Amino acid sequence: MQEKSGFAKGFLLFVVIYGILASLMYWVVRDDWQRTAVSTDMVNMDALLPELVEGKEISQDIQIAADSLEFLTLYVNLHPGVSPESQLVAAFSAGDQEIGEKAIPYGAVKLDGELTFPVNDLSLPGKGALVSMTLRAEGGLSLWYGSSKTAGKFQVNVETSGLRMNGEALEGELTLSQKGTLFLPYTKYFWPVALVLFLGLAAVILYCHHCRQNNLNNRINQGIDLIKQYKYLLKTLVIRDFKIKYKASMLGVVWSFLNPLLMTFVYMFVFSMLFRSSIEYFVVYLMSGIILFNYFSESSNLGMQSIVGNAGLITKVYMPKYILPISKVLSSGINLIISLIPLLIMMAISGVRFSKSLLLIPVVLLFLILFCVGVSLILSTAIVYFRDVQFLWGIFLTVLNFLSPIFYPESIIPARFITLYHMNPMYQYLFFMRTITIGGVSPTPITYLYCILASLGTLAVGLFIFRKCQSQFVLYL
Amino acid sequence: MGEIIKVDHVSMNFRMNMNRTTSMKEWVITKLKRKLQYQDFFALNDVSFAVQRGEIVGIIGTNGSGKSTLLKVISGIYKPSKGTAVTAGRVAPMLELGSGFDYELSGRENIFLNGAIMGYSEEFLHSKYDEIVAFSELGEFIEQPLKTYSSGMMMRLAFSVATLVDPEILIVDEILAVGDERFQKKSSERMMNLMGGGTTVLMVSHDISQIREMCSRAIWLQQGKIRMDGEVQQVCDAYQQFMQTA
Repeated sequence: MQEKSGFAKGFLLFVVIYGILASLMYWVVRDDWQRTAVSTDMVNMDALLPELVEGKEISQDIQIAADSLEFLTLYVNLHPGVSPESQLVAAFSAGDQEIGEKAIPYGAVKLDGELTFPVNDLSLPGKGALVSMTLRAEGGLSLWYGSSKTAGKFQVNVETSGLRMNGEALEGELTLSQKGTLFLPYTKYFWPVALVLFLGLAAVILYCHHCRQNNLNNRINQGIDLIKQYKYLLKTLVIRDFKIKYKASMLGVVWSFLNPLLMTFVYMFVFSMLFRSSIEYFVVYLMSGIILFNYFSESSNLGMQSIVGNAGLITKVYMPKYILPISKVLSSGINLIISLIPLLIMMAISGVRFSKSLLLIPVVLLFLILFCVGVSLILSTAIVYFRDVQFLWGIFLTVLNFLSPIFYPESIIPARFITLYHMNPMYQYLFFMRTITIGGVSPTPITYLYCILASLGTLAVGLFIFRKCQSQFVLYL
Repeated sequence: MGEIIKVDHVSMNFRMNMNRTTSMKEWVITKLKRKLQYQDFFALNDVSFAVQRGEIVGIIGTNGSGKSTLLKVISGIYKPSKGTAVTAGRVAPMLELGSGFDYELSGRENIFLNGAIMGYSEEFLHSKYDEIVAFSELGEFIEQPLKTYSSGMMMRLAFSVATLVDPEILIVDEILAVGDERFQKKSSERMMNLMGGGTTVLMVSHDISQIREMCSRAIWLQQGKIRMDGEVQQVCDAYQQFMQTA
């Protein structure tokens, strides 16, 4: 009876915690899963069109890129001495249908020639529609245009231009960018998915409870017994590893946050020599990359050595061997969490807006940690049979370091490799981390799905391989 | 009461070091050449017996007869190639004392670490902590890192941790006495107490008189097989006779 009410209490606690977490999650992602900001790339500013005098007009066909287009940005060149009251008129039409006009005074042009004007009060059609924009002005103004888009150093030629002057087609395209909102369909699926997940978890819990109640002699029951018995060992090992790491160093745990800081500065210094980065908040970008990748490389290396390195223990005492790689990954995890502090400080210093999406940091860290556990299980098994794995893994980590966007922008990757590039799980975790820190929004569910697949998939493979081989370890150590 | 250890047709088969490959290159080459040959060595060959709760069983045999392998199988360190070995209680293997020690940590931390490796809970170790420290006679050294310990101190600590927790099954491989003469006396007393207190004991020893004195039953292993299993005096007599004639 006592046990029954204890279980009921525990289950209630689970329901309440799940409810709170799900609601919190909903609050964080609700808006971001409903709409996302889009901003299109613009072509290079290659040349100026002839001056836009009265009687002359320039038309450009625009493929609308957002469900709700809010701003258009053009680049113009104002001749000296023009009146700021003079107006540029942009008329929009779709096919034969007139949509509306927008008059923008020259005074709105910024010093660098950027001219951004709102178009949300025009009833423009939605995403994918082709709209023709016709520009007229009172002289003293020229527009920039170009013929190629930049994606880093790889240029993508513009295929269809749709640029006309007085009805006559020209090569190229206006230097123009659209800013707007894209509506996403995901928020409405949040609660159904949360409910299904809840039912799934509840079913698992109830089944485990059923096994324990009836004292079934099955794997689940044995597993729970093992976890109960050895959870203290796991805790002890994690604390031990963390303690020993800095035992002999003067600054001790301070290194946990000094390390990412110093590494970031080294990279910053090197790259400020090599090229000027176009990345927004480059320090934060770099630092988040370094922290996550360092964690991956540290925990996978330690996890890989955990079985071979504890040979003396494994051949003398029985214990669940899973505990060794898992404890290594978790003790590096303490490091990872500590190194978030300098990251947040750097964010504050460089002026990144702190938004509620930061609450998702635990989510991405959880994904990463599970992934690392999976990788460590695979590696620690492999190294028992082939000690060569440690050298191969060192090389592989270097390759992966360059294949992940840690210190360079993703845009330098040629478009034809981008799908392959995105398959790298580290890319996904880095993208996730930067979206919630620098971007200040939650990534779309697609990214979540990618991360979940990469993490749980790797974990499942790791558990499977480790389970198959663990009884043989003792024979090979 | 009832069976606490059940060893059922256990065979333990080692692949001998013909060409056990630990580098990928070697492995690929031998695999390609189809030269991957193994010579099987049966350290245990179809061994079956059961131990009742509270029994004290001595295992005797010549070197290489499979005694230690048997203890490792029962401790769960080796998974038998064939058959099953089931234990129905908490096993404390005292195969090599202090194998879970970390030399960077203090004696105190090592007590908890070693206890955790043996699968004890935090509360239990806290409740036993003072007793362990007192028995080990380490005093204030307990806060010092283990690397500063003498080997005698280390053994005293290891013995204290291993025996002051109360295992249901104690598996002992030739370690009954550690430390100086006084501590040796104390530790063998401790062992006697454990054995008297209803703990099931499996012990390996080459000291036949010790086996005769402590055990109620003996199992004689020879080349991985049970040669004789029964009342301790009879088995020991037969074994000693065999050793003299051989």
